[in-house]
Amino acid sequence: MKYIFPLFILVLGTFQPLSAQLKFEREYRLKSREVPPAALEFMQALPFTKKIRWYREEGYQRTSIEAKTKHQSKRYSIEFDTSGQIEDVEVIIKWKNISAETRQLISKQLGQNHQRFRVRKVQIQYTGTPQALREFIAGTSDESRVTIRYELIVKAKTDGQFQRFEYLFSEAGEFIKRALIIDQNSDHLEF
Amino acid sequence: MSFSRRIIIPLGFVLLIGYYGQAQSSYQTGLLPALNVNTKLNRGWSINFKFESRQQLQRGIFGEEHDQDYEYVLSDLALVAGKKIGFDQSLAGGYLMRFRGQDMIHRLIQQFTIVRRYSSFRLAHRIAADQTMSAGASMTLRLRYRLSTEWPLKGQSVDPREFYIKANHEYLNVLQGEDYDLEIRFVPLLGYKFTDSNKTELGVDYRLDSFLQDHPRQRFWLRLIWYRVF
Repeated sequence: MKYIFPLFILVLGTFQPLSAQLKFEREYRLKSREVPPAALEFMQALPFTKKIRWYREEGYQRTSIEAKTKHQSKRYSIEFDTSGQIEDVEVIIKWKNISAETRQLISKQLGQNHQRFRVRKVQIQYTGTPQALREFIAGTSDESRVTIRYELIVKAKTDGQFQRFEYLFSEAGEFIKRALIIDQNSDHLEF
Repeated sequence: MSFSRRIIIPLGFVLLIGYYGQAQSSYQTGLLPALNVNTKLNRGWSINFKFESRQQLQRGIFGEEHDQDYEYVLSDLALVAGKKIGFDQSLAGGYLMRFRGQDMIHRLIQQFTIVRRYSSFRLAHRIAADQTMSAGASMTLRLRYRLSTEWPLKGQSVDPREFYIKANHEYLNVLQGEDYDLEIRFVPLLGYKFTDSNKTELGVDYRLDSFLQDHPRQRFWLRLIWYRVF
């Protein structure tokens, strides 16, 4: 019995590097009154006119608050930490909206990692100071004060297995990180 | 298309056919509990085992006194092997044994499925064929198409300890000897996901057939399924 706790710690330690590469999120819909005030204030200062949906996302290692809305035909996802501090702003774009040179670099990287791949979703990710992000979304400043990255959801065949990955690339197309997405079972839809 | 339209259009279509044929329409109601066990193997292979039992509660002609009460009808045991062949596609094939009274019925099954994930729901297409053999009857061939959808009742995906709505809509072409029939099924279900490998669904399995021959048969099964993944 006395060995159980050290064994648990050992097992946890063994799996930690692995879990860092895994992406599993559980999300709950939040009512506006459940959202941290700082996040609400940030959103209220923006020129969004459409309905804002709030979510709490729980991952393996972190929890975040996310606001989703549509603005000028673009789908926005604004992520905050649990205290309401802005973390990043993501906008869904098309693969072809990325410059040809960057696309080529990203494709080369994906080709090296996987036998086959298909880019299913692309988001442009903006990070920076709250003020810089606010001004950028409001259209009162350009992209020079924010950092741009690309977040991709990729379906890929690796070692004979079909899996989904979340990739993050820099604006220039340099690889930053990737995580294997833990997909839900679909046996109840197949059988 | 909105969620309500996805549900209402097929349901309306099915009920309309049922309504027009109601004068000579027979019905059957009952229970359809099922256990569905799935085991994931290496390299995209999986094995699915299904046990299903059918028990009739009532049978008769609409508008008349029912002519039969509780009766055990049959039990099915099926074993199907599946292989993921693409990002969203799977192929599967297997064998079903049906125990009906003293008779044993054999069925070979082949199916192709596509499961697509959208921002707030999942959609599955299943094209399947089966061949049913039993002593003293000619082989029954069926070609079927099923559309299934899963909608979370909270958030954008179904997480553990959350409810969801699932609906199946299926068309079955049935050929036995020279006789052809079309069966239509509509199955709205309320599901609950305990964990990612443990979920249950409850709903009505509505089946309409024989309407091409002008004497439609409508069957209403109370369906309770338990899905388990090992």
